[in-house]
Amino acid sequence: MVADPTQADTGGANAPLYARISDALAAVLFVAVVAGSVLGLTRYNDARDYSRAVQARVGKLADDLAARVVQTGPRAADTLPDGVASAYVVVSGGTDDFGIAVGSQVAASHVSDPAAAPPTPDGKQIFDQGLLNLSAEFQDYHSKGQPVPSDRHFSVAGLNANETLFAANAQVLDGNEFKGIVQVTVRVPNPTPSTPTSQLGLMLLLTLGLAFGASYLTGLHRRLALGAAVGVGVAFTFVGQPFGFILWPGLVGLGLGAAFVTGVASVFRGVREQPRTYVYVVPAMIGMIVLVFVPFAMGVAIAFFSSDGDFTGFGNFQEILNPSATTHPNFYWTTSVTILWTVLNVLLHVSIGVALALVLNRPKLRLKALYRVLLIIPWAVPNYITALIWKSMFNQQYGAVNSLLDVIGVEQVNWIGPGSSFASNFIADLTTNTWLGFPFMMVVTLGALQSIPKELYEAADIDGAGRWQRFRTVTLPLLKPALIPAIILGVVWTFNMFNVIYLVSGGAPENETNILITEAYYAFKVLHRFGLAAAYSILIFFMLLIYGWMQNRVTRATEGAFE
Amino acid sequence: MSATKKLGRKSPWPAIGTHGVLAFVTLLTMYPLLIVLRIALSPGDSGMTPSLNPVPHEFSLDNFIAVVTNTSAQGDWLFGRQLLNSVVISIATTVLGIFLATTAAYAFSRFRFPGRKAGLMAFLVSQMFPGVLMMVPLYLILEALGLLNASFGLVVVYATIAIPFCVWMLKGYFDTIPKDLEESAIMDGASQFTIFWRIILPLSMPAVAVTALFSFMTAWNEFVLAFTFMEEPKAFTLPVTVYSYVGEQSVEWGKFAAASIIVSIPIMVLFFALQKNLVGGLTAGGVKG
Repeated sequence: MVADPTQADTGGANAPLYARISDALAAVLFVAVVAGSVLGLTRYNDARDYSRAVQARVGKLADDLAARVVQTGPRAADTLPDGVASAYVVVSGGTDDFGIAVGSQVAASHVSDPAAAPPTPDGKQIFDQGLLNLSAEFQDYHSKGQPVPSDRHFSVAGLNANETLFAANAQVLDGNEFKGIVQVTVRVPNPTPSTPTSQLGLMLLLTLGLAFGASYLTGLHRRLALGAAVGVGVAFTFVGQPFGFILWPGLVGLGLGAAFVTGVASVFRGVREQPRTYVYVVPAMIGMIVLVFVPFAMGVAIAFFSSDGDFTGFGNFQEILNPSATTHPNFYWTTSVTILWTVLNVLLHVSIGVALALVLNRPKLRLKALYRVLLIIPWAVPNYITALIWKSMFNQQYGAVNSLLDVIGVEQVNWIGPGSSFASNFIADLTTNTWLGFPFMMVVTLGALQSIPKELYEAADIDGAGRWQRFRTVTLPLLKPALIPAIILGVVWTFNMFNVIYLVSGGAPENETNILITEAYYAFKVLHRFGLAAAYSILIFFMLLIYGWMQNRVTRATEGAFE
Repeated sequence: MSATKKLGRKSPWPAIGTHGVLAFVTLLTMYPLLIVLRIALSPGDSGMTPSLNPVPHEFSLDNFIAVVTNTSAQGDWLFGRQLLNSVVISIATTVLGIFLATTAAYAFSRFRFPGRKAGLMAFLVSQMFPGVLMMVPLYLILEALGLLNASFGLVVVYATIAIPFCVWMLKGYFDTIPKDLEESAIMDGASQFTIFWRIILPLSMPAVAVTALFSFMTAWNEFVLAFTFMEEPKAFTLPVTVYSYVGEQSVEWGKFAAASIIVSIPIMVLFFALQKNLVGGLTAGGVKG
């Protein structure tokens, strides 16, 4: 989002008021995003830690009571430690012949805090019935030998703005016999947020003022001043925290602000100056932001959490980039396979596509339209169907590939079945994707060939150029502008070609033919480790970004697009 | 082959050679599809034989009938329902996709405004976002917007997936339209929107057709998101059902083949109808140097 050089300098003493407001709003936007996400994360983590601590404390009270009930009976609820708001004991009558729990009753209740008691007699009846149902549910888990899920173990009810009634339930077990349940409730204060809301408001005002002031500067000074406004605003949000917690977000804000605020501010200014232009772009942009860029940002955030929701910093990345010796296939194997896969595929797509296009482009070829239609077909078939079709073709017993080998007298190959080798699985994937991908390159080449003027070939003929020379000196250079962007797209699509790998070889043998995207999906779907999957995805993204950037530097493929 | 070129009378051999190569490659390309046709037209899974012959041993439409008459336990006609879902979702995606992509591409092609370069770059870079990363957040966002299990949710997601490629392609195409026409239109007092609607769009029909095809394909073929975001079989699109025939529980190759053919036919028809545009639209547009 770096501003176009033409409008880099918009500040200064004579800048219009709306330009200053644009600067201020852009800076505030950055503070809101940076400080908002850091604060959101810390508040989320604090709340989790707090609720875990309360769960441990109240859970222990419930367990103690359950143990005492086993020894001294339900009346154990009459003597309670300080701080307990209420306690209930449900005694189960066991199960009938059909295995259904019967004869449960609330055997004892002790309410020391009136706020914890049900308000009316009707309410009490409903409350008691709820306890009996809960007991039956616990008994069911016990008889099936399953652990009680945590949302049945603990529950919360808000009392007022500052306090919560926290309830813990525990099973009463005599040996291994289910006797009933106990419920203990405790009144707990809500955690106070580490940064008060008033401080957040102040910090936004501060940023607004500083950025407004920064708009009186020009050029690099304005840039740095806007960065400083963002940095100060972010840092101010965390006043009261340890020093490191103020410094780092502040520095991140400073860097981001200096790099990007002027760009965003110029967009705001543009909206004011030529609102009609933006009307055309805004619908598409809103869709992209809400459904592509925001999910991407959320995905990036997920990469820094473990599967339990704990913040782990770079833990997931470390696990991928520094694999243990027993991890096979590890990240470096998978990356090599992915690169091999991409290079071979694109090479085959381009060479087959260009070759066919050259043949089809002959001036007096009969049936040209028919050939072209038939050769485009693989592109028209949905690619998951293609993948599944080829999977059936590579079936060892019934597949057409082995039947064909049989005809030419080659022994049957176990392509993708259990016990098949890496090479055979990889070839199966490669064949499928080649079939799928060459028509795109063919169509692109055909289009580019049509735009090559005939005179160039005539001139080459006069110069006495042979076929190969004509191709090398006339055709190829003129195909390049069309082919290079197509190759970039092809590389990106092949690098992330999930369907073929997942549906044909499925990563067999032992995930060895997985490429990075299917490995990420494996972490997501099989291991249920969203953080790890997200970390994989970010690595994929950066590899593609670096590739695209380098390719663009070398070939200047997108150069003309921005003029 | 080059040796024959110098002769005044043309030898038939180069042509025969060319046709030989083309026919062979075409056969190779078509063969998997012929096998699918055989599996679909044989009774049950009996078409799944080691034979290389693409003609079925025994001809039967049972698989097609089974796929088309697929009903749920409650007696709902699932196939009809899912076909309707697919058609409605794909058409809505196409309409929304064309609207979003043509307007954005027009602005990127004709106006110079702050954020233009960044916006174009952002569209390009978004192609590199891996889908796995987006799935959980997208689920949460659709849930928050109340669009889970709603066709409209899928339409919006598909349209945004299709936008970046379409915008780049259309922008490239719009760039090739000479500006003289617009200038004379402005002389005549035409508004910016009139120029877009009356001049640019009609002149760009090949590229718009490709955009339409691409949006339609995105929606019609997609199954991972449809499978994740839709819970009831009644809300599924056809690809989810096709995939379920070779899912983890059972493998019914006959039904799979028949369903694949049914699902592929509309796309193929569109491809053939638009293939002239495809060659022109793609190259003049998205992949222009």
